[in-house]
Amino acid sequence: MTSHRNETDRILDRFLQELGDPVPSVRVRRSTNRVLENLGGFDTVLDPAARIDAFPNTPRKRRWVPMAAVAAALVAAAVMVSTLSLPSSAEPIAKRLNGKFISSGDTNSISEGKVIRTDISGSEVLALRDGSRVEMSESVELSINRATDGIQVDLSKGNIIVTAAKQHNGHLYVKTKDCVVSVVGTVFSVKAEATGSRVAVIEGEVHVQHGDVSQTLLPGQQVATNTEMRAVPIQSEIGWSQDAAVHVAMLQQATAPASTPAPAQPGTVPANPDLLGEIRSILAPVDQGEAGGPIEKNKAFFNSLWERNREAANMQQLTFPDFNNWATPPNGFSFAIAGFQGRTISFTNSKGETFSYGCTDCSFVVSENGVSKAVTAAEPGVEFKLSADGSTLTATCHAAPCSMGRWITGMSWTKNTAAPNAWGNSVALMISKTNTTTPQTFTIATSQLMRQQGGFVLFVVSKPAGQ
Amino acid sequence: MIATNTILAVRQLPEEFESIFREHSEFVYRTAYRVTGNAEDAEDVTQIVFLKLFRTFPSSDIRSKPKAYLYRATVNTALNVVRSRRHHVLTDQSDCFESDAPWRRSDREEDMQECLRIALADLKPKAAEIFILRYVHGYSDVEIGNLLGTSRGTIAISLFRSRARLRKSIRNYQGEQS
Repeated sequence: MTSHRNETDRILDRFLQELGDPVPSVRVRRSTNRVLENLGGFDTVLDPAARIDAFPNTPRKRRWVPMAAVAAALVAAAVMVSTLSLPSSAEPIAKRLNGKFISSGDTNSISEGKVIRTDISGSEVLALRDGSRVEMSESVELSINRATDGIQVDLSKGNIIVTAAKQHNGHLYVKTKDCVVSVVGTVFSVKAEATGSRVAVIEGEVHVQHGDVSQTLLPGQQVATNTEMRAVPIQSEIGWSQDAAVHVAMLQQATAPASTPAPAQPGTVPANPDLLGEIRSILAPVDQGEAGGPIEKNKAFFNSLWERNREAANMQQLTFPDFNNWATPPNGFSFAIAGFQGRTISFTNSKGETFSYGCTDCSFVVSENGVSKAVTAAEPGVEFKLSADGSTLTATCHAAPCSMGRWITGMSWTKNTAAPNAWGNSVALMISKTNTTTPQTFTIATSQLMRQQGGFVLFVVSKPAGQ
Repeated sequence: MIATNTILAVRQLPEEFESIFREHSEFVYRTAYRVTGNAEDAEDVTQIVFLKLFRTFPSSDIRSKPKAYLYRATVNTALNVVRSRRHHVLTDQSDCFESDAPWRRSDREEDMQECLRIALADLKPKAAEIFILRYVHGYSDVEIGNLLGTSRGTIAISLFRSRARLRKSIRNYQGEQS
């Protein structure tokens, strides 16, 4: 009885303590900036039909009925919403994220059916209402329309790369003059020319309907609707993308020889984690004569990885993070998420060792020596948990303070001199944790791990003295 | 149909509104984050709260004392979001409740946290408000009493009852699991 009471109090105390934990400033700033951008840039926010009641002083039940309705209406007006709340024809169906935009009545918000064209500079990125992202190359012409169960991109000409959001109850379609591509969450390229269309898959699975023929494509596969359109290396098909390195890395992972570990059964986490041949080959230059300490090793690894991606994508040299400014604690260690596929996550640590792990629904700890079960691991490390739908990965400092940061393509990584233990503002995501008694959980959208703006997610763990 | 001039008005947020946003948005977000427990919902709550403020902004007397309004709106909106998750937790993730494998412990801890958030959302509005002022923002009983115009004793009793409610939720949850 007493032990039950103690357990109840312990759970409650922990909950109360977490309520009072500070929220990382970087996260707060990023989120509030995004909200301000949405408030200023998305015109559905002023839908006159969505009546907003003044803040009431009425009893709770009476208050929440209208507020719930208003909340639902307002959430539906946000940039990223599910396909369940497709807009009326008067509301924007997409929003431009950057680039030059050639269209009559150039605006940030794109209404249904509006024809969008890019000039020879390309570089237009659109965010669809379902959370999908469409990157347009040069001379693209398309419009975005509602389908019966989702959104349809009508591509008249040009090359686009679609990063489809996970579809809850619908589909995302890309329609050219001679085929329809349907997806439920993947990354693929579609090129529409006068002679026909070509579809190439980078990640996931797409269904292509061409006349009476239906075909399913997997990563690395492509199909053309006309034999005059010869097959091209997918790397060159997507080489124009600003995220080419990321897409190529995803493609390489998806098409690498099967070395992914089988899903682990409860209680059978392997003592010796699997190695990824893909990462091994990337590491080869590092293993050859690299005699530096952890930081040097890490630097060499990432330079190696980056060089590989850069060469594959035929990109120009970009600034690489200066790992001399990335201070691994003397008694600590660091590691990075090197890849993500399905439910398997691959890591590399500051010693240049690689390991991967995948499971259907569990937590595990990445420590200096590899992977172990969360409930039994006593070593300092980072505890990871992939959500059931695979959309988010939570990371929690385990038995030691830790930090996390992500390096973004094209940005330099600088040390924040004002806060020596933190990274600079050029890091898009930085969360640090110094309190060992109250583990703080970081949530990362897996779509951000290897997609979108790219980059690598790095972790630094400070081991307590004596360990 | 949205009128064009209305759209244009939105694109240029009033300076005063933007100023209020910049001054208070972090407070709103932090409150929402702690109540909802995740960044996505916190961002939604922040957007909803400021959107509501924006809608009433031109004629609103809230402009003179926005913080009190924003705090209450944030708490209410965030708790409403948590309430709306209840169905999801109890149905879609019911499999989490069924496993007793030791390696699933962290799942259950997460579920427990979510159940406690729902229990918090089920408190009476004023009790929830007091609870959040105490445990999210760290105000003392006296400070909360001053803020809400009530006595320290009333605050202490409210917090005691709220904690008891949460303990009961924990025990109920544990009972379901055993």
